[in-house]
Formats: sequence, structure tokens, C-alpha cells
Amino acid sequence: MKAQPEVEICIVGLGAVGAMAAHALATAGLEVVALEAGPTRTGSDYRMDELASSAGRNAWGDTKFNREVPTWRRNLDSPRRETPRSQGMANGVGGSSLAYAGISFRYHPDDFRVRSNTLSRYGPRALPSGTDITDWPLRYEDLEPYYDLAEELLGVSGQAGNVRGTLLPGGNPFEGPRERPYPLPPLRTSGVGELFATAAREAGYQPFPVPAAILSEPYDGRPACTYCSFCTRSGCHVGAKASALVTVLPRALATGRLKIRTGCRVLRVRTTERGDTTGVEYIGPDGLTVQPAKVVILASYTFENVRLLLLSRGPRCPNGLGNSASQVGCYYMARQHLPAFGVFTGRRLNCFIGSSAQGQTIDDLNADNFDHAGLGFLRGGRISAVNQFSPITSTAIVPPDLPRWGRAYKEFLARCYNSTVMLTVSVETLPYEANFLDLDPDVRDPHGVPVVRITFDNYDNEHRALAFLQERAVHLLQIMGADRIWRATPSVEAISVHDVGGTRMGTDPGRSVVDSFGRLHDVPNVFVLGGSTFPTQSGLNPTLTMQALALRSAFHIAHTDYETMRGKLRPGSSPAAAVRSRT
Amino acid sequence: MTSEAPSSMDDAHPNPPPPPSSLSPNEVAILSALVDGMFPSDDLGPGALDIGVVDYLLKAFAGPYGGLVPAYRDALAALDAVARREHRRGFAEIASEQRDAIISRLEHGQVDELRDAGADQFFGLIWQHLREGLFGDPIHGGNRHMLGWRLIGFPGAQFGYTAEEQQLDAAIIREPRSVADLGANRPDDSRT
Repeated sequence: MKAQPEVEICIVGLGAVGAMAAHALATAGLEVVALEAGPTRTGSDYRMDELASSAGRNAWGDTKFNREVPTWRRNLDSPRRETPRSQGMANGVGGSSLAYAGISFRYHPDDFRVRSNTLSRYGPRALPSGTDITDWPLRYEDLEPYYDLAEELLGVSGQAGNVRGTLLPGGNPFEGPRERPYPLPPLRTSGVGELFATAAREAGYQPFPVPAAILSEPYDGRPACTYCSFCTRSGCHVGAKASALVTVLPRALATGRLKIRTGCRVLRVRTTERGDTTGVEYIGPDGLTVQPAKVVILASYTFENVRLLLLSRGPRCPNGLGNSASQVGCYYMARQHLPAFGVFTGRRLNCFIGSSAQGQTIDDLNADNFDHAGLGFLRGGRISAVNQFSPITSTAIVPPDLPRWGRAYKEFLARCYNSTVMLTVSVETLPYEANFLDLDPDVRDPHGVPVVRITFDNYDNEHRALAFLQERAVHLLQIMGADRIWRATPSVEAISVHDVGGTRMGTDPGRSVVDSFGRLHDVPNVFVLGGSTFPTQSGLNPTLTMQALALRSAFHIAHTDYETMRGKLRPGSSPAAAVRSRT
Repeated sequence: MTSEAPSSMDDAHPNPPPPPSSLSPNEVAILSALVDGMFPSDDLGPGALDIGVVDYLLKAFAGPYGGLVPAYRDALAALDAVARREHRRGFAEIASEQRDAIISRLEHGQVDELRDAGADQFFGLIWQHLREGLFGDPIHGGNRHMLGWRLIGFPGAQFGYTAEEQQLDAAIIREPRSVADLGANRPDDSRT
């Protein structure tokens, strides 16, 4: 087995989270090697091609994800079925940050304290049976500086709702206090967005523009969004979307202390008799190779973080690394959706223009932002009007009383494709003991390694929350003036791209896997970053929280104080210039 | 398999079966009749055959969808069997009303022959692929002359739109474009 020279930090996976950590650690002076299973590519490698990036083809996951798609069963007693998924994950430098929607919410202060807040407001009987809801081991206030820095590094566009406790008109009144407004004003509001916002205000809600890691104006050497309509699941042809490739990675590389090795598929973390790690093993261009490291950081997607831990068995960890309390894989949470649709006969809505992050939304029915007494469920989600009504996907949106073929179908598309709007409804999934990840006993990837098996279903809380929000969406469509309205049918999304949990953080080593910095309770020099560490899901999009946590962990690993590090990290020169200066 | 193998196989099978990644002419005829019924040519505009859905599928079967050929074969054979049992002619030869009645049962999972073959999800599969062939970028072999996009009013690969174009009821006056048309007109992307 070939061995590389030892490094201080080895990061496994160079997506949105790994790249953020790599930037902070390399800037702090540490030598970092990042192992990425996929290739190098750029935003414009993703052509404006809906089909190539569809969930079924997912051309950007060919080097890894497509070969090891997790299997799924509803529960212990149900058979394995084809895994229902809305999207696939991308592999390569920058990971899915090239293809993501870029929706960049901070979690509510309440999202960090779901257990405490539920108990104090509704009492112990409100906690649904089968759940294990815990508070996070940190509060919003602990993460606020890192949210602020992440927003600055990415260039997030949005309308602040709460700056240092002062509520600002037009923003989200439910957001936690922020030290300062967003770096950039919100993306433009489309005609449909305005129609939705007006209806939402009439219904008593407080609509606001979705915060997006997409530039509304030129920023930091990058141009503004052109509203091209090939955004989510595509790369950005101008670099306005904040992929790692146009934000943190050029700066990290400019330090000279980050080495990126592509085509390197990590198989396991090595451990010693002492119980710590000495590095990782991977299959790369030179075959099976060892990368020794003082600290190993797993920064891959939820499935791979869990899988690598379970595969890394050793003398001190016969059930997998960090798994002495059998907590690895537990409390998996996938995002669930239940949209409503409306037709505005004879009108041109032009929703096919723009991105799915360019939307108006309401947060009034999310988290504990409203009184749940008597509703029969906890938490909630968002209702939004979004753009990017792409034609392959959106021609599946048909009223239920129409056949999906023949002249009637064709006539509907010809007359109503551009007159149909979708209001998205997405809700928070609670952490259930019955929903977990483990290794599939039967299915292996081309390397002969077991794939992840998802055991996941929706339960009463999700059913009720989805139905409640969908009814409100229907009401909004009525106010908006839709003359034909229908509801999506409930289904289960086992893979949702907001898939979190599995290595949850906590203070009790018997009921969690990592601490608030992502450090394994069992192993002092292995960290896990990403959504797998979330104890609860939140009804908001998770990426910015993962990125803020990655910065916090990196500062902790580097033993540097916040103000010093922040000064070194903040934008000022163009990342493109930084890249050019290297070449 | 060595390079000599094909000739010895030819000796054993004067009419060798088609390779697993392609359909026979009869199967292509059934597939054509199916997508024609699902998206017919009429006064609203061109149908699936004009728009190139079969071309799209045959290209996909020779590439990323090669693994789906057996499922298609089974389903097409089942549809043909239904037509022959009920109308004494193949699916590609029956009258359009007879064909549509079978497609309607297909949509609702009521074709016994498909259920028996474990293929009651076939409608969902071909419906997805129909839409891909109608509304995917022409570089994949369907959406000929962007006829699918023209039918519904989608302008294809555009570098961006103005704020005015995002207003309600704004008419989007743009000639549709394929990614293949972008080429030299790309904005500067050297930095991404």
C-alpha cells in the first residue's frame, strides 16, 4: 500500500462544507490535504441542460453517488424498494455547491432549542411518541458570528428582518437577531413573487424574499445573476451562485497550504490500539493509498459520513468508529414536500425564468412561530412561490382530473404550461427512533463496499403538518386568483438533499456521536462536519448552517480567536485574481 | 469474449437477435404507436413522432438507458399481447380508439399482462421519458427543431432575462436555443 507524507489535516469530501473548513484551516496556517472522490470541474461544465442534471440521470454523480445510491425501506418489516429521490448528489471539487439552489437561511434561535421550547410551551405530552427530540449543544447566539462570516464569504442576497433586535420592514420577522444586514440586497422579485406576496399579506402573513447565495449585484469580483433559469441542479455560467469554486476555494488555494487530490475515494478511517486515528485509506490514481494525518475531518454528505464511520471498524471500535453507544446512523431526517398548484387561465406567468432561490416565502407557519395548541403537530415549514419552472419537470404538473397523455394532456400543456404556478410546501421532519441509516447487508458498490440502507417513513406529525400547510397554500392560491387549484398527493422522499442526522451532536456521549464542534466523543482527532450532525432538522434549508458550523469547527481546530481569523478570511480581493496570481 | 466469437455465433444463428441495447423493428413500431397515442399530432401542433421522441429513446437505449431495455421489451410485448387478444391485431395496427383504450388502462395500472410481468410502474417510466424526448435539449436526440419547446413557449438555453420579462403577462419574444447554439456567444466564463 502506497503511503503519502503525513499532513496536519485531512479533509474527506470537498463540497460546500469541506471547502469552507479547508479555507479557514489553510488560512490559519495549517497544512491541509483534501481528498475528493469526483473530478475537477467548473460551473460552466454544467451546461444549460435540464435533462443531464435531472434526478434520473444526475450526470454529475457518475463518479460516485450514482454507483452507490442508498437503498430504502419504510420500516423494519417492509421490503426494500426503489429509493424515491427528488435529486441526486454531485461529486467533484465543490460538490453539490455548484448545483444547489443557494437558498441560505440562518436557522431560527428556536431551532436550536426544540426540546426546551416545546416542553415549556406545550408540556411533556406534546413530544410525539417514537421521537427523541434534543436541544442542540449550542445556541443561535454562539453561531451568529459564523453565520455572519459565511454570508460575507458567499455573498448572500437578502432582506434583513432583525438587526440587533430591531425589526425591519420587508424582512423575515422570525429570524434571529443579526449583527448586520445581508451583504447584498435581495434578488429581484418576479411578477409571480409579487402576486404571492400581496396575497400572503392579505392573508395576514409576513412575506419576504428568500435569502440566496446568489449575487443580486456584482460583489467580490463576481458578476450578478442573469436570471437564466438553469440554476438549481445546474452550474452557474457566470459564477453568480456561490459555489465553493468561486468563493472559498480560490482563496484557500492561494495560501499554498491546501492540496486537493481528485479521484480519491476514501474507504475507511484508520484507528490505533489507543483509540485515535492515524489517517485514512483511499483508492486513488495510484491504487490503495494511505494518507496519514494528525486530524481527520469527514465532510461528505450525510450518507457517506455515516457509512465511513460504520466501515471504519478497528480493535477499539468493532461496531464502527465513534459508535461505542450505537448512535451512528440514528435519527435520520429527510425533507418532505407537499405542494399545491394553480392555473391562471389566459395569463402569462413566466415562472420558467429565474432560479428556484428567487422567490417569495412566508415563515409564519414554521418552527414555533405560531401557536400549535390543538393542531396535533409540532413545528412546521415554509410556503413559497418560486421560479425555474423547467419544462421536463414541470410538465409532470397536471390537474388530477386530466389524463397524463393524449390530446387533453397536450392541450393542457400548450395552453397552461405558462399559466401554472406551484406553491412549494416543505416541512420539518422530527427525529424518530424508527428512522435511521445503516449498511445494507445485500447491496454493494463497485468497490465491493456496502451501500447505505435508509429506513425512513413519515409519521403523524409530518402528515398533519404537511396537510395543514398545504391547505394554507391552497388558500393563498385562491387569493392570488387561480381559477383551477389542486393538491399534490402525499408521498415519501427518502433522499431529499436536505438529508440530516445520523451523527448527531450533543453533550451526552450515550445519546449523540459528536460534540458541538463535530469532534467524535470516542476519538479525539476525528471530526464530522455537515448535516449529519444536526439533532433536529429545522423547516429551513440547511446549507448555511452547515457552513457556519464548519467555520466554527475550523476556528476551534486551529486554536485561533475569532477576530484574528475573521480579519484574515474576509473578502477584499477578487477570488478570481487570487487564482490568477497562482498561475 | 474474443474477436472470433461473433462469427461463430453468426454461424449458429443466421438471424441473430438484436443486441440487448436496441429494439427490434416490431418493438420500435409498438413503441411508436404508444408515444403517438400519448402525444398525438393534431391541430394544436406536432406530436411525439414529429418531435422525435422515438429517436430520443433509441439514442438513450444505446447510452444511459441501456439498462432499461429489458423493461421496455417486456412492457411492449405485454401491450402487443393485449391488442392481439382483444382485437386480433398487433398494438401498432389497431385503430386509434382501441389503442387509446389500452393506454388509458396502462395509465391506471389495469393492464393484467403488465401486472403479471411486474411492470405496473411502466406508465410512470414512459411518461417521464416522453417528457424528456419532448422537452429536453435537442442535443439528446429529441425535441426536434425545438418543436416541443415551441409548443409550450419555453425558450430553451438563454443566458438571462430582463426584469420586464419576469413581469406577469409579459410576452417573451425569443427564438428558442439549444445549448449547442450557445458556443461562441458564451459570456466570459473563464473565471468560473
